[in-house]
Amino acid sequence: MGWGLGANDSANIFGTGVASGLIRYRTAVLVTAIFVILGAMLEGRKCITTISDLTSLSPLFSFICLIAAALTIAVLTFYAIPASTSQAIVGSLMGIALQSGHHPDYRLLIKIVICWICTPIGGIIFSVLLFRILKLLFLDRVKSVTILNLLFTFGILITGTYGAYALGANNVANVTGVYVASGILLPFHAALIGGLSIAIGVLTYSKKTMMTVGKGIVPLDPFSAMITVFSEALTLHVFTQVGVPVSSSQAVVGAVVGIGFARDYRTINYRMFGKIAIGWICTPLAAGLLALSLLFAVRQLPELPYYCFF
Amino acid sequence: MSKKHGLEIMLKRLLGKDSREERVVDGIRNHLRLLYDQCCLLVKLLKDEDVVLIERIMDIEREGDIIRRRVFSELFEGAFIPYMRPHLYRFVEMCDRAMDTVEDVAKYYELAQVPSNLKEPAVSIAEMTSSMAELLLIAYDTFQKGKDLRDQMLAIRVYEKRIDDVDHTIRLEMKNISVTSFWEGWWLGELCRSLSLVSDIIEDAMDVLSLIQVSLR
Repeated sequence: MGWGLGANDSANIFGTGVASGLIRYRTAVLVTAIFVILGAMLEGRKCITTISDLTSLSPLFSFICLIAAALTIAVLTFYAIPASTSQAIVGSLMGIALQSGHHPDYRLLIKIVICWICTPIGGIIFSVLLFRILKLLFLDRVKSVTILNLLFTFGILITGTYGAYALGANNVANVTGVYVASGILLPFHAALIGGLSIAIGVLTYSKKTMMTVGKGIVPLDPFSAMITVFSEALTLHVFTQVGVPVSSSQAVVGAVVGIGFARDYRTINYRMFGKIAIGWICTPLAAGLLALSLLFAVRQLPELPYYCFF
Repeated sequence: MSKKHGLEIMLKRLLGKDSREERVVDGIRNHLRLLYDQCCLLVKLLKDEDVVLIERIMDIEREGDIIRRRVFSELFEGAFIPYMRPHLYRFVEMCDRAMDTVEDVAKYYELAQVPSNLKEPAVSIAEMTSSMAELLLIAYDTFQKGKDLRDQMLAIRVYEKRIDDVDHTIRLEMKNISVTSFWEGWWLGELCRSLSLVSDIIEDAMDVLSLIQVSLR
């Protein structure tokens, strides 16, 4: 799970930088890996606690949760429906919790759903604000093209570093949070293992996605690319303080929309919001149903010890 | 000292005086200065009919090629962010094309005899082209300072329109010119075509420069 998350989500951080040749791929993955681990270790516990408090699980159930979430992401991605790892994990947890008789914390669940809805909105708000403020502070004041060039170069590196940190801090809970819920891991070990697995995914399999994401989305100018990553990182970091893991892809989508809004509101593509809303419903539902199916299948196996089911 | 100026000085110190970007910027400025010098020599050539200047025009074109290669080399080795490199590359190529075309005018002048009734309009075009080259150099300095390029752009377009009108007059006059051979007529036609082409290229270069400025904001 962590490997897949690292391979895919790192593209949101340095995708445009690497695809446009602004930063070398090797530098990007090294920086991402280091700061993802740092983010996971320093602040990953906040979101891990939320996932582990959602419900209690047996070790077998936590494993089924992760399998269901990973399969859901794979299937929905195949059908080009935007899928969030956070939503898949929560959906599969809910599915298991309802079937196993362990009542989930519904207040916490409502909090999580509200944060999901607020993620692209947060991306939009932060990118509009950052665009206006940083344009005023730098773009309108610096006239020399060589100085602008320097600002863009360092800006993309610094915002990417922050983005990697925020990704580790927020999304490590999706990787190992369920194992804390089942008591297999302590939060510290969960953060370390989760961070390392995300870093391995970044280091080993992120190149293709970085190039696809970087070149495939609307080519942004360097300033807008910088604002997009900064907004995404800020959104993730804010929700880390709230303690809820959210989707980095949806934060990026919101940030790009915000850039368009800051320049000209007529560029907003409302159809894209529809796609995200479908993802909000499909992902947790699909993950929950898949988790239930797997649980049912596992229960048919006669040889497993009884304590696995509690 | 204004706050804006102070911020730029601080950032320039961070950048270092002799960075690749500074070398590219200086290289392009020198390239544009050579283009202007070349256009001024062309005016003298057509006015004074001093064929010695043809060699000097060709020398300047070769100097321009050396600068162009240096600038491309710096860009290729990593000057400026990749987003800006193709635009700068295109701008330098257009200026180089303008210099090549001025050299062509000089070469055709050596081969063809410019009739007396075409001399005055030809000199007029060359003088306006020289003014356009000067404006392009001023526009580049203005671009470096981050100021508005509208004045220079408008002036270049006005000159280009006037050159088109004079060029049309030349073409009408050419119908009445008798030539003794195909090649004499061909060289004369190519000289007139190249003479008006330089201004077209300078106008396109100005458009590229303003696009670079807009894309950065």
